[in-house]
Amino acid sequence: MIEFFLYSSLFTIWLMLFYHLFLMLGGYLFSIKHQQVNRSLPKDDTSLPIVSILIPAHNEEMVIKETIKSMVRLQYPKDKLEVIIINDNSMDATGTITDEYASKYEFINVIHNKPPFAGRGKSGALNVGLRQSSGEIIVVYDADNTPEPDAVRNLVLELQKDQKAAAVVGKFRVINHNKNLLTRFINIETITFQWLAQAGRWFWFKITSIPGTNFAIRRSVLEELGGWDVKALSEDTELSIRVYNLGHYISFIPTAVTWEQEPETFRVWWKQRTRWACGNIYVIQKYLLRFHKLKRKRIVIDLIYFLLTYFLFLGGILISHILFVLRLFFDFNLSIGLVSYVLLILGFLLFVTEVLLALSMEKGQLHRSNLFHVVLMYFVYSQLWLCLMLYSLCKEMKRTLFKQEVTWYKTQRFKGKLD
Amino acid sequence: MGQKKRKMSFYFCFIALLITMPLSITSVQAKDSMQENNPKIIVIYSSVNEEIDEHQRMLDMLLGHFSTNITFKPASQVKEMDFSQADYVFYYGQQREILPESFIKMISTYKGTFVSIGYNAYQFGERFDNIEWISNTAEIERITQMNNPTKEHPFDPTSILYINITEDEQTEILLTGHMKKKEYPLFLRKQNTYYLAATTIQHPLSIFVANALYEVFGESPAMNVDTHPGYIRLEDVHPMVNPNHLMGIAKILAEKNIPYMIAVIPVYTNPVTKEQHHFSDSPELIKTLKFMQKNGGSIVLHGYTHQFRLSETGEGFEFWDTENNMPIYHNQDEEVIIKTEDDFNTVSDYEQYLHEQKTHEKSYIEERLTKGIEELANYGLYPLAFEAPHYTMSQQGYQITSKYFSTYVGQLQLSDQDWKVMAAAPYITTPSFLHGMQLLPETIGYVDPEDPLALDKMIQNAKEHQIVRNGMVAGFFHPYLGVEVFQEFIQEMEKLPNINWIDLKEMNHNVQTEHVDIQAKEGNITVNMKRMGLFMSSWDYLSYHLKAILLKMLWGFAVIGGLAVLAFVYLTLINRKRYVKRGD
Repeated sequence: MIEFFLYSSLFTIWLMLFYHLFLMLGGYLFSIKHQQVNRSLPKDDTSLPIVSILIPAHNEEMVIKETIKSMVRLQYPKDKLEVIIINDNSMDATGTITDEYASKYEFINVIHNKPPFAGRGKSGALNVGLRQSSGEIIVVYDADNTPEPDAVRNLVLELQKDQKAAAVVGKFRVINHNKNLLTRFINIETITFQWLAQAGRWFWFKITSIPGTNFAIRRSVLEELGGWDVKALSEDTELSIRVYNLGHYISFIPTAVTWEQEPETFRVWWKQRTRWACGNIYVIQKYLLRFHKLKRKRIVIDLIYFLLTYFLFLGGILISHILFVLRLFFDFNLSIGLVSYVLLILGFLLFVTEVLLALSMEKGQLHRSNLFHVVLMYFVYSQLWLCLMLYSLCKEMKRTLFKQEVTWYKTQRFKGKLD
Repeated sequence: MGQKKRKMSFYFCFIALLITMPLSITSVQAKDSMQENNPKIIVIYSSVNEEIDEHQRMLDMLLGHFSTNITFKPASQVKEMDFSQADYVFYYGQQREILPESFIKMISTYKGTFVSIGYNAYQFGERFDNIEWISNTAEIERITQMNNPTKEHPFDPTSILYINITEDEQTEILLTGHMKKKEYPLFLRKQNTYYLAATTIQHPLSIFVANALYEVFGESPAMNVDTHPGYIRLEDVHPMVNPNHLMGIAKILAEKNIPYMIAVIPVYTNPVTKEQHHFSDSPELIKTLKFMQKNGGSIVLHGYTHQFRLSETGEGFEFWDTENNMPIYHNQDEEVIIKTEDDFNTVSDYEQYLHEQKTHEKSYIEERLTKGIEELANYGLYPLAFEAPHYTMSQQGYQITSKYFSTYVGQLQLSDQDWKVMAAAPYITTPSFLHGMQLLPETIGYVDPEDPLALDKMIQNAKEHQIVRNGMVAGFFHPYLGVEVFQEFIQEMEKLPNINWIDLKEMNHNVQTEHVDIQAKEGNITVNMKRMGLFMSSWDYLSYHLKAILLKMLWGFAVIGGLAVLAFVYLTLINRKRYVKRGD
């Protein structure tokens, strides 16, 4: 019995590791390919379409100023640009700050969303913004984002070039990565996520998922979909799936970069990640049972991936952890022997080398202290992730059982020196 | 549905793969045979309550070397027709008795070879008119054989019957007993009539009687130049044995080109934790045993757990309850109340009770033999013979075992009342109470670490058995004693002259269960396994193979994972170089 658990956990863990290994390879190949393609973007502005940038903001006084400033800095013809800040029932100075900028710049608009229409979370705010916008292409930024000046332009050019793409996703980087150990971990995590999951999936399967910020999507597609799903906790994952289901795809370009603020305290990180995890579990629940109804089977790969990550991989790692601990105290007389230790060490080495490869694709990220952080991450951050997943699973299960309403938790911002 | 089908077909492919795995193993060497003309022997006996006990069985073992066709009958029940087809008639007067007139008459008219042993022979009148019956007690301490009258073989004083020879001319004395300066005729012949002046044929008498029996069956006994079959048996090889010791010994034997036996116990029971360990828990041992099987070793099943109650494997008795000195008529945790006929109201109740006991023992032995054979065969280890733990087993046990095995190795328990009554024949034999099984007797003992003289004693025993023509020289060794002790032992064994080490594979053996059929012949082992049935009978059998495959896959994972690590390091270094080049 024990052996059965051991073998099955090893198998699931390693199947997932192989999948990740495969994705990482795709990410690497994509980076090579992209360097060659990216040299030839047009300089002509006349054919650029009208773009509406939606920025939902709820109590964002700490960060909104920088965000608006970065909008001003955008290298995009201002007559073709419409920035819509949806001030979603803020109790702080967000309203006044945004109004101030709106009066100064014509292309900046503010919608003050008050009860009873307010407080429906990010999806609700985005839907309000969408109704008020006029752009042919909709771009979304979170209120804590400071995109690089060419980010929107790169997103739009990609959409123009690739008519079949319904949306295009850029890359996000961590602005406060040097703040503390947690933000350093998050920095490494986001870089790895984008090269492994985003670029890797894009390269092999032409699948990317919308990360909630720094993406452009055609208005026509949004209208066809009827906007964002207000019930979804992770509106981005949900939207991605619906886009794919329509028969479109989402492309990934690493040249559209935005810098965003990441949680600086564990408590905030925990709340934010719980929301994401619960959101993803919601998506799995929603689509897994209606699996056969999905028109585009390609997205099934992603759903299965989610399913594997959230249930099997998690289960596998848990069992493996439990067995590891139990084996310190009891002798199960397992016949598996040496290979289990070899796999244990190799699993760790794979993690480290995969992350290092991802870091090596970003300028200035491959240095000695990051090597130390990667090793530490395996023992600390990854294990925290495990706890978080378990917690989220329980929470989501409870919610389903008691049919609780979704409450949207807004990530707390930090005032900081922006570099 | 489609997917399900695919899965099913995968499963069948897998089973088919297992079924077609190569099943035969080859090796070399040759061997001599015995009973060529298989005479019919009838043994008529006088005993307490006309029952067959250890005395008759000892004679059975000695005769079994010359024939597989031996019939025992009490003197009161002999009929004329029993004699009609007999090539040899034996009478064993182990108990004093007035013999039936009819029987005496049959003997007097019988023309074939007649051998009388022990009491009552005077009643045959003129057949033994060359003998003067003096008394029932005499003691001897030395024996000489007819073909070498000057060579005296000493031993502890042993009782025989005291006779004198009245007529010297036609009488040959095959064996003579000596006490101090006095001589006692012990085994003598007048034409085709023989007399053995002893009521029991225990060791050491059995050695000389065995040799003299060659005269009875028309062959000449040992002349000290013939070769002797022998074997070395590695004892008590269970799943917790150190594979290194075993491998060390296996390599020595392979190098010396000495074939040998391995007494294997499939399950080790920890006496403290009661945990059971199987060979599947020690892949290293399975590998070692397979190496041995390919390089001169032959596997002998040595019980299933080598214990009954909670004793340790290798220590306990499996087919005998030593606490109550009785066969396994009950479960291990059952309280044992021994009942006699007086405890029952009717005879049929008592018979019913006996029947239940026998049935219990039967299913107990059957289960353990089946499991033992099938479990080993599932690993690819093919037992060719059986050896009961501590050589203890009831008469019914031998009968049941004969349904599974054609060869038995070791010594035989001769009494159903006391396990301590056991003996080995001095040569290979097929006594009737083994129901067709051939006995490869163990004759010289084992290397006892407690006894500094153990090796000397073994050599002494070996020399004693070389007195007998075809006398067996066989002993055993516990591998836990280590490679060095084994070196010493094997060096001593090699000094023994004229030994032909038995390779079990070269002889004919047949081992059978419902799902497994193992045949050995001329160096080849042929195995037929009904794998489907085997896998259905216990999940463990299939899971062993599945695990082996899974383990291989996991190693495959490790190789791919290792390569990926190397590849990632390489790509990372390339990326770093690229940035350096671009000046980022």
